[in-house]
Amino acid sequence: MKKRYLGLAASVAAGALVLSACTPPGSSGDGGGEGGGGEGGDSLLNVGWNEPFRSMNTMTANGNAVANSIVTYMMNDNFGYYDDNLEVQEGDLGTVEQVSEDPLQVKYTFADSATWSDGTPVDAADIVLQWAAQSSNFNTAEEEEVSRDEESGAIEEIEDEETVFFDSASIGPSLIKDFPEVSEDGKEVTFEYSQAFADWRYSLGFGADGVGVPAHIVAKKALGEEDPEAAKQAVLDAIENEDTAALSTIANEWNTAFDFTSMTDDEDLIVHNGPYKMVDFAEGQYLTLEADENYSGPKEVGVNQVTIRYNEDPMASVQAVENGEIDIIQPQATADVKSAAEAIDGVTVESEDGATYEHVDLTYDNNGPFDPESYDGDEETAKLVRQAFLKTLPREQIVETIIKPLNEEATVRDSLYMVPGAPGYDEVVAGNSSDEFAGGDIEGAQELLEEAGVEAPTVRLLYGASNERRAQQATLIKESAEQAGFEIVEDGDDNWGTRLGDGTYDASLFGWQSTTTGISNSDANWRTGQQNNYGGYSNEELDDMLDELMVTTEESEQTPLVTEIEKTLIEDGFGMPIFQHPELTIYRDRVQNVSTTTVSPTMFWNYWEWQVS
Amino acid sequence: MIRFILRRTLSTAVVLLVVTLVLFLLLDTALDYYADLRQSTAPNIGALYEARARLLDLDTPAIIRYFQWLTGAAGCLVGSCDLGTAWVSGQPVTDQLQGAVVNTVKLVTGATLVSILVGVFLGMISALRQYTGFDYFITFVSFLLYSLPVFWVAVLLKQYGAIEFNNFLSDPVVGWVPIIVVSVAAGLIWMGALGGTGRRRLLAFGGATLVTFGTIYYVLASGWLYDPTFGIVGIGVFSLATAVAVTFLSTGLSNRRALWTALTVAVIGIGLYMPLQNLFWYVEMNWLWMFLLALVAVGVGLAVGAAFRGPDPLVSGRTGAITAIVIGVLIFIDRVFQEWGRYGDHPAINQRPIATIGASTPNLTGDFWFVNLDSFTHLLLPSIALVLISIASYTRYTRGSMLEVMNQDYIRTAKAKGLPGRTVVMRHALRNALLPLASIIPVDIITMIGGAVITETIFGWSGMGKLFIDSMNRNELDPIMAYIVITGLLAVVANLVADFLYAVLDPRIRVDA
Repeated sequence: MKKRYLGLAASVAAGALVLSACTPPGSSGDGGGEGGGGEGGDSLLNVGWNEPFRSMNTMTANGNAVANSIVTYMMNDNFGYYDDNLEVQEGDLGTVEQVSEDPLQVKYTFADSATWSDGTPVDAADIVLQWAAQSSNFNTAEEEEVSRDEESGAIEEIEDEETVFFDSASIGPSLIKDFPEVSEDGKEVTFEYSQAFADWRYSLGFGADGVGVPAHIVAKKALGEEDPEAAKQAVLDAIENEDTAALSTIANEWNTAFDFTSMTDDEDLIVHNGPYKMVDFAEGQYLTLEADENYSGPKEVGVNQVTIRYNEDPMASVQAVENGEIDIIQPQATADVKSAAEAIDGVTVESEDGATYEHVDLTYDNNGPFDPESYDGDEETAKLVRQAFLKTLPREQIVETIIKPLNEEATVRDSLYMVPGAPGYDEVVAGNSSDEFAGGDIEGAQELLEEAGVEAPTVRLLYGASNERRAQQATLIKESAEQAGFEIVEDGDDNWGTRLGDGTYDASLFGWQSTTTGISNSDANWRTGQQNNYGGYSNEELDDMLDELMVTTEESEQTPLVTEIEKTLIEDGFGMPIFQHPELTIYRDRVQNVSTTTVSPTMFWNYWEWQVS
Repeated sequence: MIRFILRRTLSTAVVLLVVTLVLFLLLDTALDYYADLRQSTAPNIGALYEARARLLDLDTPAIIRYFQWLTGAAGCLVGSCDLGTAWVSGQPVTDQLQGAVVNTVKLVTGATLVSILVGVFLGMISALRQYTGFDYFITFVSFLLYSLPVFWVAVLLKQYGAIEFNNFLSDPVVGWVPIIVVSVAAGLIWMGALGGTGRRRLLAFGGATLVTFGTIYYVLASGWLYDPTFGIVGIGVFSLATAVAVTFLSTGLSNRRALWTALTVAVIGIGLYMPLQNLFWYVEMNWLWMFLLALVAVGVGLAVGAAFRGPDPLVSGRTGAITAIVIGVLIFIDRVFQEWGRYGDHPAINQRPIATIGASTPNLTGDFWFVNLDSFTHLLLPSIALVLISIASYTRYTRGSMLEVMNQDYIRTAKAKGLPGRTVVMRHALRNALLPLASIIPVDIITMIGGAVITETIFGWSGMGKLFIDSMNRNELDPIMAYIVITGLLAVVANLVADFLYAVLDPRIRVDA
């Protein structure tokens, strides 16, 4: 009985509680804390990307990645950038002009509106530091002497005060040997190149690098100089006087201080001079940029808050677009991804040329069918065999069957230097004798083989085995070449990358990725003994032409020279380009003005024009 | 015992040393540290190669680098961990691990619990209804799920669980046919699970069909989906039902003291509903609060059990405590779902609450409940994927060992003595049947912490599995080594725990051997 009373008592007490409880203010359903309304009510945009951001300094060997560039490009202004036609446009940081051709002098004039977000003007110290850091001219440490953290290999705080090591190297800045002429107010800087240099436009202050990381912050961290003006002067002095003690700490900070993988507490690291500021960064998940109300430059951005969300699975990104979680993506282009994206309502899919181009290169130094050594040093025979092989490449067919489904406007790439459609492409193609190797020319190849007097040469073709697209190409190449009398050994290997240059194959099929349109780009692909010249190609005449190209600053003179270089390469049977890798840009229709360009920062190039509805 | 532990520790250390050494050398050969440079046309490519070799100290022989790594890793034993650096991001591996471990634990805890509970339950029922339609159905479904590739399940889940479901939420209308089909299917499943005579089966079928139909109809017709909370009425109904169900499973309804305890706890729970709403409104909640409240709930359950006393107060107390916890969870869920309306209205959600990627919506801030709701909408799909895949093995294991136990002599004796069926199954059979699971579950939990590589990748969770595969793709040796050490260590520990658990559960086994 007792337990019943207990139960009853409990019920009564409970009833009393229920009745006595006043309704909480939140239960009407419209309250309950701050609930996240607040910020970003106006315009939000979610962009998908495959790899997380990791450094504000895009000029170090390690920080140089598109994942970083897309963020720094939106956070910083520059002296020039590529538009979607790969034409160079004037940036908002100021103006660049060539003041003298011989010696080459380039003057950078900073706009009055150019200021860092902490109020310090952007000026000489910043671009001078960018030059000094990238030039390698101030590095005193022999590379072997730099002490590295033993386990990780990261550069240790260099103890020796006399050692300077900037972890960066770039050709343009290294050609500037002397300290530049800086105007009184620091708004004008004139650099003098020690020799003529064709790509001076891309050397400093260009694209996502902007003028690099703020010099006064570097000095604050390295030298403890709190006052921005004094800090800038300290940087300029250190560089001008080659003060190794100061430069040593400056280099250390410059190398690593700007690396971070989640939102940093240190406001100094995210000081910027462009229209967006970084407000949140969840490791591996997303990074949020917000329009900076204190931005003093001329850009007016259309979207208030841009969030970059990270996910590397292309299909997951497409589904996230369909579910409205992400608005723009540029996933790895496959036919599956394309058709899945096209099936979604309210989503636009655009296929364009990407930054990578596919090519076949031949090996010269492995006693294979393309090596003169195999024919007792008979250069001519080897060359005929090479030409014969290149003639058989079914380039047209490859583009037709493998690339067209992804990008209807795809064409065969006929230039080793230039992207189809780039300024000057048509002119180069007209003169580089690529038309003789249009592809699939079985009869022509047979004639050449006959002329060479070589019977059924065996060619080992190296490519990435798990890359289906490459495997299909290899099959097509094999079919075509065997008709002409070649014997093709398919050598599909997932470790193709490590094997490049080891001489165990005769022809290789892979992609080159361009980072700028500068003509000094690709130099290392064909120059004798260079890193990227895996086939062991060597032609003194060509090396001379490359030297000449490097110092040809007049664009009108560059094109004929490039044509001549390509003609030499192609007729020598160096190899042939095949096609530009397609790139898919997929975006929801609520975003307007999305377009993409071939090189970094791809679809971000005109971020200020984005609008959302 | 101590000798046993010592011996195991020593052998663990040796195993780990050998594993790390072999894998370090293998990985060092397999990883291509220059992969990203091989296709680059940068003019200074030679310098880049040299910089990379310097960065990773590649001129030093691998074996020496292993011992350098080992020195840092050994520091963990004395509290100064140095597991190296992920060179692509320049981030110390120890920092990387923290985030990854937290995310993985968050992802797998719920999924593991649910799959164990549901798996064991289904396996038990399936064994009790051996060779019936229900048994065949469960067998078929578990084998089907077991054989599904997770990447495919994930894509389907996203398509139907998120994209289509979100579309559906914007206009929640369903035709009659699907409702009836679902109701009848539910009726059939319940009928199979409950079993019994023809009349009982018919009742079960009819009842289950009607209840399902009614529930679906109510949910759709009342617009419940726009405000999916239970309210005090719902909490009341569920609490009382919970009290009865828990008592049935825990002691049997014939134990009146336990039943009264459970019902009293339920009534107290209902009574506290409104005061709790006030508490939740006026005080900013966090997980510590939740934990304390759960403790209070357990305390209340035990106290009520003690108040009803009788010869066996612990049994009543246990029943009360379980009931209190379940009711607490119901109130928690109810409170979280009170945020539903505001959540959907948020511009970042835009009426599409179920997410397909990530662990949270970017830039969404709010109170404890709001953030948790966001967490749940992100956890939902990956958890379902994990549960679907792992539930099958638990079902099969439980079924098998349950069948074996049910054929034992002592079960026959118990039945012959006239013990109620519930007591035979729950007390004598199930406990013994769970023994083999004790050696499987710890290992399973550890494997899950080792990371659900595919699930994490597809759903964009940066957990351990993702860390591993990303480091592989980026050719970063140090994080992979850390991953190997941690999973290796955990695997050994899990086996040790399993051994001990086994010994504790089964007195016949001693670990000294």
